[in-house]
Amino acid sequence: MKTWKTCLALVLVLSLLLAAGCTPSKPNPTDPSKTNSTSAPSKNTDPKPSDSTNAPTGQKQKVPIGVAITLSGDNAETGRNFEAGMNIALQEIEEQGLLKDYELDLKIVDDQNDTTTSLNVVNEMIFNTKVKAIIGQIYSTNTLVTLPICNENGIPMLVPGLNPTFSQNGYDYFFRVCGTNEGGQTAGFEYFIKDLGLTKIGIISETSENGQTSYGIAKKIMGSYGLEFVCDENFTTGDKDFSTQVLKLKESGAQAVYTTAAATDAVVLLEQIRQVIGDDILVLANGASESNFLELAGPELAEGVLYYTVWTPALQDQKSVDFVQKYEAATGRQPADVSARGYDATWIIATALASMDGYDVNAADFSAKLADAIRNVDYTGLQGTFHYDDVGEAFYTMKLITYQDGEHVVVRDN
Amino acid sequence: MEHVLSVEQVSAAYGSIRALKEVSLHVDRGECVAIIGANGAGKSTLMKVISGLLPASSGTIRYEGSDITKWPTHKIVAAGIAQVPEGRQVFSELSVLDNLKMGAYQRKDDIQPEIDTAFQTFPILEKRMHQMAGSLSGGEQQMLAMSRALMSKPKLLLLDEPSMGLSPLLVKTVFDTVRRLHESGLSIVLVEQNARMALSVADRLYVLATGQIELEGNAEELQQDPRVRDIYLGI
Amino acid sequence: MNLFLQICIQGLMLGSMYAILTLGYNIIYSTMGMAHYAQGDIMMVGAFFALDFFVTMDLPIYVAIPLSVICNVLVMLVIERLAYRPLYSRSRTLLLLCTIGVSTVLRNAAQLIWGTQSFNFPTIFPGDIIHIGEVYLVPQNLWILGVGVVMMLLLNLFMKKTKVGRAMQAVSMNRSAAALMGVNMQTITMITYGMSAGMATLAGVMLAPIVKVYSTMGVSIGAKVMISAVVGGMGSMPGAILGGLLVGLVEALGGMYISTTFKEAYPVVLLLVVLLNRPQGILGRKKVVKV
Repeated sequence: MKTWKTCLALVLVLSLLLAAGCTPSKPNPTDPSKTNSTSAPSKNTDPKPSDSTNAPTGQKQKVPIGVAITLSGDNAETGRNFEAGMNIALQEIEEQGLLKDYELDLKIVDDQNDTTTSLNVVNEMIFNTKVKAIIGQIYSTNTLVTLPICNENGIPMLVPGLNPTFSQNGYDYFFRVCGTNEGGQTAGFEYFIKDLGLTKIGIISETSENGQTSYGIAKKIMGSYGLEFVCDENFTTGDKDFSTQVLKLKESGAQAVYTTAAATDAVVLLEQIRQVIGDDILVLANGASESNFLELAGPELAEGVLYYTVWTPALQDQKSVDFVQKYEAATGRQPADVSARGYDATWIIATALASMDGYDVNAADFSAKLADAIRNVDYTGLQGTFHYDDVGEAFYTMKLITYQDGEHVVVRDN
Repeated sequence: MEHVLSVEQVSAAYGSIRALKEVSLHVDRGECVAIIGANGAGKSTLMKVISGLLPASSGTIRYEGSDITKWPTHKIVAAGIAQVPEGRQVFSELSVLDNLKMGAYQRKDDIQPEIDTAFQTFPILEKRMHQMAGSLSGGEQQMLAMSRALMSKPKLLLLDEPSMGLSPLLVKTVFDTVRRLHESGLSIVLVEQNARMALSVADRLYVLATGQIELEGNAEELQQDPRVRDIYLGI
Repeated sequence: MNLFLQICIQGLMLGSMYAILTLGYNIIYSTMGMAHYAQGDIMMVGAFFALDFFVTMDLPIYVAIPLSVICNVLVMLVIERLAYRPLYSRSRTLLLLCTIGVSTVLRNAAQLIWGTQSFNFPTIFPGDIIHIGEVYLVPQNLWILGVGVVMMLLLNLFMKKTKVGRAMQAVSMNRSAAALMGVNMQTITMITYGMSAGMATLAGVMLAPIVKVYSTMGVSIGAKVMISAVVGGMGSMPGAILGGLLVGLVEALGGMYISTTFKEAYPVVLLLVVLLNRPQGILGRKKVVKV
């Protein structure tokens, strides 16, 4: 009887392990040797005219680039959208034969949207895999801990995140591939206060580091208009009961509210706002920019919800239209704004590398040279023209988007 | 004729403490067998093992021919063995009546006759019928515990230290009841520290010391045995 | 005054959700003497089953809920058999650690099987907000309160009037004596866990439309359940209700009148206050151990 029980227990444990092994393999964040490696297929191997700074003739030099994004958990969709954008860029780069001397060797690793995991991932990338640059991370709470490490070790970091404090530390190796929360919130509050003439605005911010940074910016912007929030509430990460906050919001008579909540929390909060307060109050939510927001909320609940971004599938310029077409053909769904960030980040790296004349990847100052090349890059992508300033910023303004009948519509274009 | 209860070389332990070491005893139909011994001798352990509350590490227990060593407690109770545990153990937040009903848990027939008998034997229980058992005095609880055990109409009754903590008058009442039950033909195993009272009702006696049977024999004979007189009767 | 009333109502609604789960938790504590740390996660599994049956398979709700209950009860019984039963004769601390382990296993299993993201769950009780004077009530929350009350009444009837119920009460008072009465401990154990899992499933189905279904939905509510149980009195059924409602009230009132930043902390403060003054809980039994 005892052996039977032991056998059954063993079988159960083994089957659990088997089930775990059979799920589509997600890169193990603490072991980069198991990461998903994507590399642009090498082009011609014709011998080139020799050049003293070239690597051994004919061969394209592999440039390891770390990519740290969220591929699991509640926000896995964001990472996947980012990756899909990168893939479109990689294809185009290959078709156009942009890289003659280098081959992009992307090491994509899941940061699990967790700071500890992110630290481990980035450390592995820098010290073990010896990447020459890192693209990442999407969620600013993680970037806040990993950016200093990249900068200390001279590894340029292309950050698709919105936290404006990144460029305020005098880092030489920081480059942002999108806009900032400051730019976005400025657009949002300008819309509320200047365009609509609203005076009663509320804020519901998450108590996380990122949430509070956004809170600080919002307060500053309100202050510049001589206004204060009529309702100033917080919520703890993971707490899904917003009844108190919504009640206070109602009591304050706010005409609009800004929330830092991510997609899922934003939907729950939105539901409760609409239930208790109604449809009149305007909602600006960070989480509304995420790709799973529409699916979770449904077109009816999403109607009229505002978010800020640098790029949206609603844009009608040729580049955007082409991108949307290619993306939909490849993935069967519409791209999100993070997809554009992935696309632009890849193109920026490639453009920078193309200007380096085949400089030796193994040279000690390769990363430093790469950083210089990025700073001097002149690239027009989906999000606009990238000319980096001294602090690593390219854009200071953002567009304001809303949902209408399940579609993204530009409300305000700075 | 087979014994009603036959304990054969049974050992039991609490973790690493060996409480019973190859104990053997038997009870015949209609007999009242007493087990006496000092505190910590293993008497209550033996009761727990027989009722299945504690597993035997070795040995066999047979009841009416069946091997009940590995039986779960509820099956042992269903077979007809009831125990009045040490310390009364009434359900303190249930009423006196509900306690009695719990005693008849496994029965599907009319239990009123047995309830009437219990009230006849101990009128005080009828008086306190709806009171919470926890509010009864020690002696009243003992009467309740005994009545409760009898509700299942057992064929073998195990009594674990029924006189403990009771006044001499109550002790007499309890043992009068035991005598009456014995006379009615019920097989009884009585565990007692009070050797004198035990000898007054038992047919046979076992003396248990540090987990082993030291002496056994006819109650009358052992009453005269100098060892028993010296250690347990204090004479 | 209306604001105060409104926030009290909200607190009670929130609390009734905690109360339903705490009832299931206390049933296990009273009968088995163990703290079931994984109660919140069992709720989560029940919610996922309901998601499969009601949403993915599009079965009608009166089919989906019983099916979910059955599946979840099965899961619970298997866990009891494999993980808990071998440890009943060992120390209580070991058993508690085991339940913590089960909690982790359930969460990760859910992530493996259903995924790591959140899933929508449609409300079973649609309807607009009800306004009574200046106070408003959300229909879904009213239903939660109603279900909670009904559950408590049914449980009370069960425990007092049915044979099995009284056996469970006896077991909670004195386990070995109950065994001597002929109560089948294995059956009682199965019924205890089964009831607990069933109630947790219902709680999950009630909560899902509000917070969505996701693998960690049992974590924060599990903590509040344990606080409610201790505050109300471990093992006490009315204590479960009282504790749950109190925790909900404290959370809502604290959030309103002190600060929403520390909303999750107020129940812990309540716990401290109760532990310092009446450690057995408000309606808990003082354990008197005769030496």
